[in-house]
Amino acid sequence: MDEQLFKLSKEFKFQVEQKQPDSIACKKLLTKLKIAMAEEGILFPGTDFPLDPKNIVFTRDVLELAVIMSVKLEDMDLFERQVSQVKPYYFDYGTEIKKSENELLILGMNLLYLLSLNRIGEFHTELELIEFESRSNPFIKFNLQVEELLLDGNYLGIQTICENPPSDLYSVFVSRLKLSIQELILDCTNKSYKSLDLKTAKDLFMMESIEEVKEMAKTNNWRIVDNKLFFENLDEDEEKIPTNKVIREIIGYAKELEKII
Amino acid sequence: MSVVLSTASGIIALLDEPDNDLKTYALRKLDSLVDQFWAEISDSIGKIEALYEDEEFPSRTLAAIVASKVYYHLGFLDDSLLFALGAGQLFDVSQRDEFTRTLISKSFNDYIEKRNVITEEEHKLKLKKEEEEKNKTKTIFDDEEEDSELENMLIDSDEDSEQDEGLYEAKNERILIEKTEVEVIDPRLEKVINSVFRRCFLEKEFKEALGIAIEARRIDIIKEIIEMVDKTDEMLTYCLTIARKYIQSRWYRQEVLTVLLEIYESRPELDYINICDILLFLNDVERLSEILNELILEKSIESNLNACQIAFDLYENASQHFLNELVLLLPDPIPVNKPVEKDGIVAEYTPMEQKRLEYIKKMDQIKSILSGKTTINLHLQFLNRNNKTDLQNLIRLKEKTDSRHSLLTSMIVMSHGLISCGTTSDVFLRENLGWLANISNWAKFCSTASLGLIHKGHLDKAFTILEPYLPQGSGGSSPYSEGGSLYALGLINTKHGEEVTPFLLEALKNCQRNNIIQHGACLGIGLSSMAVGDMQTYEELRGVLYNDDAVAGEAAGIAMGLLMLGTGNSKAIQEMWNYAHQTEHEKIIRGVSVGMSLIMYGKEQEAEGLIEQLYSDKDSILRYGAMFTIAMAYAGTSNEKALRKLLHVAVSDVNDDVRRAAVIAIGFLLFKEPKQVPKTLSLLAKSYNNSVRFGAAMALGITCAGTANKDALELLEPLTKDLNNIVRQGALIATGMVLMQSNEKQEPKVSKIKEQFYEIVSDKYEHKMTKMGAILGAGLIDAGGRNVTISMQTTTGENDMTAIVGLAIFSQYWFWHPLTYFISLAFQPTALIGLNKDLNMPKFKVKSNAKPSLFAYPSPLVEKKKVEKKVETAVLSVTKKEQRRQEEKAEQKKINEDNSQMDSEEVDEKKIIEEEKEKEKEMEKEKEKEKEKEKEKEMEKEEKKEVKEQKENEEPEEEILENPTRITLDQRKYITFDVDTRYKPIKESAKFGIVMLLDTKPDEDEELIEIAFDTTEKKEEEKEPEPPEPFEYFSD
Repeated sequence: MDEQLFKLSKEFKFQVEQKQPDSIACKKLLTKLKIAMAEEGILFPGTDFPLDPKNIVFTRDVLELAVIMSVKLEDMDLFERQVSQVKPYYFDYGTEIKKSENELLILGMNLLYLLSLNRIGEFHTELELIEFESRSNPFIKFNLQVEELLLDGNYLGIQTICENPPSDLYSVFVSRLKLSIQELILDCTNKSYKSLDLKTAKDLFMMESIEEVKEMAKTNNWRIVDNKLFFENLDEDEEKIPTNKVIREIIGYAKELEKII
Repeated sequence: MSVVLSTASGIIALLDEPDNDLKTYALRKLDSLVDQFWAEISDSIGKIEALYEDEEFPSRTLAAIVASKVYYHLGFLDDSLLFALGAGQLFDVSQRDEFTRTLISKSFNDYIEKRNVITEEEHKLKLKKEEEEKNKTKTIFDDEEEDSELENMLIDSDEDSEQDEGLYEAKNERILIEKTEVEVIDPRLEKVINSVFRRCFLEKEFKEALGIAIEARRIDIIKEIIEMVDKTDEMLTYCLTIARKYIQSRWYRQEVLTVLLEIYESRPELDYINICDILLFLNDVERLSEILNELILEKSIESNLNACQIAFDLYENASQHFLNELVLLLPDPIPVNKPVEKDGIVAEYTPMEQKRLEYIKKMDQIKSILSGKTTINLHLQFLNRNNKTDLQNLIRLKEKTDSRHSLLTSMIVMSHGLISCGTTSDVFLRENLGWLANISNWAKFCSTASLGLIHKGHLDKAFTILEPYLPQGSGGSSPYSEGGSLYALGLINTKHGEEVTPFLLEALKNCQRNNIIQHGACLGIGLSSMAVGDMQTYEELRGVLYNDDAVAGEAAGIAMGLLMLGTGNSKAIQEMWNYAHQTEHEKIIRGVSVGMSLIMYGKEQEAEGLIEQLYSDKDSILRYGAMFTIAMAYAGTSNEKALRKLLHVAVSDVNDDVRRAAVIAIGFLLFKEPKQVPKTLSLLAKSYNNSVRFGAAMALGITCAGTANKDALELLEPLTKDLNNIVRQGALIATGMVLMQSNEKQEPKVSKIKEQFYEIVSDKYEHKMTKMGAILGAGLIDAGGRNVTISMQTTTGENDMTAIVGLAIFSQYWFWHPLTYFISLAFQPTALIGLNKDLNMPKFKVKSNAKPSLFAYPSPLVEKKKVEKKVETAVLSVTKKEQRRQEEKAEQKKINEDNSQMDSEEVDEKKIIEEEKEKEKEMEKEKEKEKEKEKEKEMEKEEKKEVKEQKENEEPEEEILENPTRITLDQRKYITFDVDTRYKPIKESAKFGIVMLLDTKPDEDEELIEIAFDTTEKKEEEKEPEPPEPFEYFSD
């Protein structure tokens, strides 16, 4: 393999392992690396000829680093892209090489990412791809617990277990998860209550202070009168039954039926 | 290490990379994986499309091909093609994978469709321009032309049709123009198509390329292909057949043919037969007449034979109008004066004069062929010579029929007419004079008309045969027999009425408005002056129509249609249309609407206006006419639009007659591909509606006639056991038609079905409608002495107008039984007749490479007791004849006695005396005949010996047939000309019909076949059968 590649990958690794990696430098490096790998033919190689396990491990490591980088930079689009790039190296190319230590960490983060976006369906698809034995691994187990609590609607429980994520890298996703839970709750209260006093609202929304609640009200155009929060019930368009259309179609069918020999 | 990828998501994710190189890399990967992961990729198709549209992106074409493949997998071929075209070089037409193949065929479909629309547009624009120019010139000469125009309209009906064309087209045109605002073909598409053509050329797939080029209307490519291929002859003929069979647009067909003609004419050796074929298509009478003249002028025997062959083909394929024009254009040579005898020295013709004489002789020959008389005469000889009628079957049916039942007795007579059509053998009628005497009214009309059928084509004898029945002026015997005889006159002289039409017109004038005679005369005129388009005759017929008599009016309507057949005369249409709305007689409306449909014969799109008009009428009879108009206008074209319309009407109209007509019309559209018809009709044949089922049976009958098509028989079989009488009738008739000329070896069902006919007739409880079907079916299955088949195509595959029209009117028999006879117009003798340069039949042999039994005539029916009574052929032994005659005489006497005893008033004594005289004459001739009969007997013995010998041996694999011979449709492919050492056919592809033979040993004496029967000689001494004695009728 090319010396150049090794050098690049080392530099990339160094950059990523910084506590506060330089976003622009990292991304530049990553692109360079990928182009180099593509030129070398080791980025998603074709399957029609035998592959060199060494190359696969190398590519996989680079891509894993890229994932970690994206988490550190809190760039979620990049994260999603990188995860889907690295996944073939776990499932397709990775079948005959030694498993990476980071595999479950990255897959776990991906699971949490999906949960935080409330993409439950995809979450389960991804979960199925992970071997059953790995479910006891803390990286994965954490996600399973969160999902269970989420289903139960036990938002308090989520809050408690989120205080101890299995990896520091998880914190990014945990805070996103909290935000999305908040949104869920907001959505429900909006429909179930006409008004709430601010303190209850604070607890309900799992917020730190009343100020936060007030801010929230502002962004959502809710009124606050006498320490009470009034929800503006939006006029939701009731779905109308398309009477005319249905009638037209049925008559059409009847006509067609009559014409049939 | 081998790996199977389970997802392409990683690679797809690469597409989001900011760097172009990475995107290109991803696209390349995707291109190789797209067949596997298209579903996954389709989620991100937007990204790929965006890449394609991004002008900056370096690998746009790559993005395009990936997108194209994804869309292809998704089944959106339009999008797929669009992107493939954007992919430029990357879309490689030489690939053989599914994707490329599908897209190429898709691109061809699009291309062809667009080309068709564009060329049609162009053509219309061109026409418009021409018209404008014409108008310009017209306005200049307006004053002068006005008068002559009127005259022209009267004389030249063709011009009328052109005006019509404009009228009807105008509507369609507007619609079309609105729909397609000048479409332009994507130049990229054009490029792809051209590269496919190149590839075809490289791989020598010329036929495929030619087919596509014709369909895509690329005349340049057609030319190129034909010029490129070495075996051009094969290619040319291939192109010719395709152009004739499959190109639906008229003007384009002509354009292609013009190109072919150019190619043919550029050849060093001119293939006259094909050139003339094309000229006929292009309606180029002048060139044709020149060529014929040239060929005659040339000295070689070969070119003379060619001329004759061309003339025969022309007669078969060209319209009457065309032939008439051609004959007029051929030069009329000045006769040579007989050299004057001087001083006892026998003057001789100078060599120049001799040449001229030769030329005159040849020209006369050609003209007589073109007039059709030669063909008709030859067919008549063939039918008479090879007559294999088995009357036993009919006799059996007759015995089971109650003679009091006038419908069924007249059906028996009709059936006999069909069986003996053209054979001139009327033994059966003569044997059953007494029985016939019971017939009255319209049945009498039918039985008299059946004489016309028996003597069909016997042009010279028409008057002699029918004389006793024709109106005599001084109050003839019965208007029914008079009318019938006029009808018969028409049947005999179908399409050749120069001599009889004036007589018929005279009869029409002199009949004192007797509607029965009028009816017969109108039908006769229609038949004899078919497609002549003569306005005077038209006005006579119109006069009859305006009398508003139901019986006569119906016939007049049909006759007007026959007279104006295929002219599209707008004046006639207008008048008939108006009258159909004035009259209250349904019969007249029906006659008129059928007549209108006949006028529109072969007009295709030009008839669209009339069809629309008729179909939107509230009168169901006019809608019925609309269906027949579609049938006539689009006959044999398989036009998809028309077909769809018919199918729609067949299931949706409220009137049963209209539905039935629609289904029958399907048969007229599809007759060129009989194998397709059973598939198309299979659902309709199972319809709940009786009329639709009947129509399906009829359509099967007329399209699959004589083919013994298994699918058709399978569909018909349950219909012959249908619950409804009429459906059973239709199915029985249709079965008879399908099984024409087949024997047990070919189709084992034949004997079973004949038995079924018999059972139905003898079943006491069977409805008479069904019995009628069985009797007619039995007649059709053995029609024309088993030597004819029903076919709407000529031997070369053209529309046979007479046959199509005949069947169309035949299908009106539902309302009016005498129209059944029109089916005889569709009878086509399945003969191979070889002729030498003098148009005589030499002894000539052909080989049929199949077991003789496969195509043998069905064996005659043998019944235990009646063996002795069996009448096999027209040739009877003298003793029997005499016996019979005596019996007849006795019978006649008896009748006479009876009559006198009963003091019946209306015995026409005059006639009896005439008969007696005739009989005496006959007795005189008897002696001469006896001699000849003896000769024949000897011949027969020899034949029998041969047959025995053959039977003793094992069945050979081939059979040698003697000129003229019957060759059934299926047998054609087995025929070869390699056995005869002396004669060779001039046109090699001709394996049936009339074939001119080249004599390779012209110095030897020719052995001619003794013409059993010569119509050209008018002396009565020939051994030809006598016209039947007039039979007496009792008046009721």
